[in-house]
Amino acid sequence: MTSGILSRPGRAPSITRPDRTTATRSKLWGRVGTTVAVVFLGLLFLYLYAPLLVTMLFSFASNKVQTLPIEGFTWSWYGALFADAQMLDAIRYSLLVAVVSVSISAVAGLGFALLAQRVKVRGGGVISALSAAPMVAPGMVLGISLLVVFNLIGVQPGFLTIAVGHAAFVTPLVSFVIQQRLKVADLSLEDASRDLGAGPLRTFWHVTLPGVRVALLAACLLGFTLSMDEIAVTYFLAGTQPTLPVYVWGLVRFGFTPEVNAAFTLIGGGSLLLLALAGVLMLVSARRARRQQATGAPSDRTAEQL
Amino acid sequence: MTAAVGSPATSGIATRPRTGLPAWVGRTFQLAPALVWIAVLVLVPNLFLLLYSFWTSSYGVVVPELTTANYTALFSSEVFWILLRRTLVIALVSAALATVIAYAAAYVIVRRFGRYKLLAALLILIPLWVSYLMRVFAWKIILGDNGFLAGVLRTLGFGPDATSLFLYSQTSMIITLTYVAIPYAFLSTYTALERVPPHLLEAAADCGAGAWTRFRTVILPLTRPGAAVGFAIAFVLVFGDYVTPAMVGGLDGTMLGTLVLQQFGPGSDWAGGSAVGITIIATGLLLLAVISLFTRLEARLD
Amino acid sequence: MPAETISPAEAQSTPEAAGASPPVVELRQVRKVYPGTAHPAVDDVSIIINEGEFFSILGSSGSGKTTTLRMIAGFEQPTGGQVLLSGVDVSGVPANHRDVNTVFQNYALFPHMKVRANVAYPLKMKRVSRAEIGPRVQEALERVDMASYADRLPHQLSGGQRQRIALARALVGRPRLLLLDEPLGALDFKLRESMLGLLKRLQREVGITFVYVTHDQGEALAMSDKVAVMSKGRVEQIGTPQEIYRVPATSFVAGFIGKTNLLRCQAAGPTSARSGSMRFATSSACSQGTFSVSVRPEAIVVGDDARSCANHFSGVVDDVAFLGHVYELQAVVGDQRLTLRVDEFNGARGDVIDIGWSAEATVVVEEAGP
Repeated sequence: MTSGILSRPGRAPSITRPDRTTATRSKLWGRVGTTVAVVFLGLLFLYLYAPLLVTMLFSFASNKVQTLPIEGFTWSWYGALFADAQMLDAIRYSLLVAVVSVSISAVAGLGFALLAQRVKVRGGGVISALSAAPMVAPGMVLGISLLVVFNLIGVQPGFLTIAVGHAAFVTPLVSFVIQQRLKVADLSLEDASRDLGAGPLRTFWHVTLPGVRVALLAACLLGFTLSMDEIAVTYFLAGTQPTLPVYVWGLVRFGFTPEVNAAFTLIGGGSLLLLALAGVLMLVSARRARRQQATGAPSDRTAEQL
Repeated sequence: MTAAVGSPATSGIATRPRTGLPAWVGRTFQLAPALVWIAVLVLVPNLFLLLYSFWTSSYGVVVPELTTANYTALFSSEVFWILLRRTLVIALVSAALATVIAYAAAYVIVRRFGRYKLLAALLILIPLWVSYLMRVFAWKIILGDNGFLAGVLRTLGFGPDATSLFLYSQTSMIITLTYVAIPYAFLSTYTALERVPPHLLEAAADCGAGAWTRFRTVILPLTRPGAAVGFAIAFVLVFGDYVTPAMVGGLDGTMLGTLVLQQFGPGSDWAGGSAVGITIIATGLLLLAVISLFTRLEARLD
Repeated sequence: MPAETISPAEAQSTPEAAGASPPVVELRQVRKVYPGTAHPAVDDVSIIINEGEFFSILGSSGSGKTTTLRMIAGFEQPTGGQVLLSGVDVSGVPANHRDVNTVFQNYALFPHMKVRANVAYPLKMKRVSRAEIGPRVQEALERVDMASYADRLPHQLSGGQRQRIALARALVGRPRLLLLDEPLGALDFKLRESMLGLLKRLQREVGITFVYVTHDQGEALAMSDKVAVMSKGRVEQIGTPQEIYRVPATSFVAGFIGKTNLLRCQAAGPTSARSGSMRFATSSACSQGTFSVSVRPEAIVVGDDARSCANHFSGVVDDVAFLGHVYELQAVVGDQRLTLRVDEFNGARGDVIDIGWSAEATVVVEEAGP
């Protein structure tokens, strides 16, 4: 067994290099590591959620000034909120903006997602990067660049400008969510539909759309919360009637009333609710996709997976 | 569109013969909506913004007379350079902090949370979907002179010195912007870390690498591009922000975005504002270019 | 030959002190239960692997063979029992502290490192001096005929080439033990053959103990000094390829390794059994009650040769298939259906033929399961 290749001078015959303490040491390190990891994540979650909790806390506090200690519990800020006619107008306006811009985005986003899946051209990466730009660039850039164009062609800031601005950043989001769903979709289903005599339109209606319906709905909910909350773009594009965030922005910048906390708590709660709904929908969609794949032809992976 | 179906004329099976246009014509035609969309919402607006920055503002109206005056005025003003430097410092520091924190969190979640990692990751991303204004405003409450943190510190027995250093300072800006940037940076670092195949780490362990060496020689090189993208996204977002400075910045926390807001609003100098906007865009693109250059260079080296 | 068969029970009772040096690998009643699963992935597995052996663990998907390998490598810790390497209990010792190297099924080459850096990696981890690393990487690459690919990145290589690099990386550190996890699973037939040749040559040259996990019985029989057949987390049989093939210990092994006729029967005497209308002599003593016998198709002869066999019947040909090197016949004997392989056959379906086989070819196998 001591052939030339294997002989290693001065090497102990043992196959394990270290002694038994290695086992206990690595176990100890594992435990220390886990503790540090848990503490770190706990602090991070505190950092991420403290602002939300603080806002909620003060929306129920009877303090006039936002500081500790909390003097008492009150619903009065919520009462004041619903007595504020301008605030209610702003809420209605924001809802309308969100519905219109999300509707545009649903159609455009679905179309772009299908295009991205099917039409492969050179420079496709550049095209999708450019169309995603309004989602990842700072809102201010989109806001002022649209503003100057609208100004040049003589469109006054108002509902149309806001809706277009919102559609610009919601569409890439919708498209992205649907593309994720399409990645696991089975293109041969559409081939089968064509093969069976359905034209492109009927194939879309009977095969393609049902496959992405749930994902599309989830994407719309996500887009809706974005639109309801948006300030950076909207501020530049809003006319005389402010959206909810623009109105609140005015309140908190020039003289502050504690009812803002109540407004924020409601907005935040609404966003989280829609988000949870979207999450459930996406889960359903993903599960359905997996089930559909399971009923399809077995994948040709031979790898044994234990 | 499926591939060509052969010559339909000869066979009786084809029910509808296809007209013979070259494939690329069809492809371009199909892409047209996307191209128009991009042109209308991205390219044209930014080109006009660029154009505006070279036009002349007079008495609140922009007249189409080409000039470089906006830029010369901007670059010769001391305020601009102060703001640029401050904006750069704040954006670099908070984007870097956010990336480090997000990376550490993503690492912990991917390596230690097993089947619950998606849940933990979602918990970090959820704040993204809650009103930006609300989150930033909440920091005003927390960091304010009579705010939440000051109250906590007072009850702990700290004097007024300790409590006045938060709001309306660069520190408060960095705390808030780091907070804002973490979920963005997390998104791409998490994706990158998740994609490292576990069997590569097993292979490294098999070769005798300890935990730290595995991180240094396998995980880090494979995830560095993702972390760089996260940093870039965080930087760009922070660099162009004007909401946070308005909320928690005060005078010391004014940034370039504030200047844009001022010139498009009360200042009524749209041409000048466009010049600042273009400067912000150019800086962002420059950083993206540098980062992609570095990642590419690194890929070429061993 | 039956006496040489090592059943799992015997294997685990083999004392370690008999020889001078302990075996390279010894598993003692190893058990692995994954959290949240009802059945153990590996259950009561005892295996001894000696220095210089080419040892295969053979089983279908889900048999626990890969889990067994991963416990030897140190990627998994056993829930019960002991893993001993060179006689040392290595429970809790992580993979990077074991002088064992693995060739992964999916190669697991570091995508961001060139071939040279991949192969140098284990040497760097062992803090081998720079001057020594270069020549040793070169030697390892030459050994797998990949020396001219040193400056490529893994994604620039074909599957078979990646496999060779993975092999070089695993061998360059000169481990005492090399683990191979279905190394040929992702390769096509032609490549498998040439890789099989390379593996066998390498093992002969370097003399390292190989533990080879596969689901392919042909590979296992062709390559190994010893084979352990696993099913449902348990070891069914350990033996040389000949033993495993000729004297399967259980009906699972008989059915898994090659084609066979499994006949359920009852004891009819000390070394004779009855199955339906057939009565035949067996190779060893029959147990009481119901059991199975295994008769390999190629052990069956027809025509005149059959008449002189211990077990001789007359059957009707039901189907004839020409496989190239042999004819495979289906024949009905009473209420049983038998598969047999013969070199020449001139008859047709419906012919009545003489069928026979020896007592030695009638192997009594345990029942698998209750």
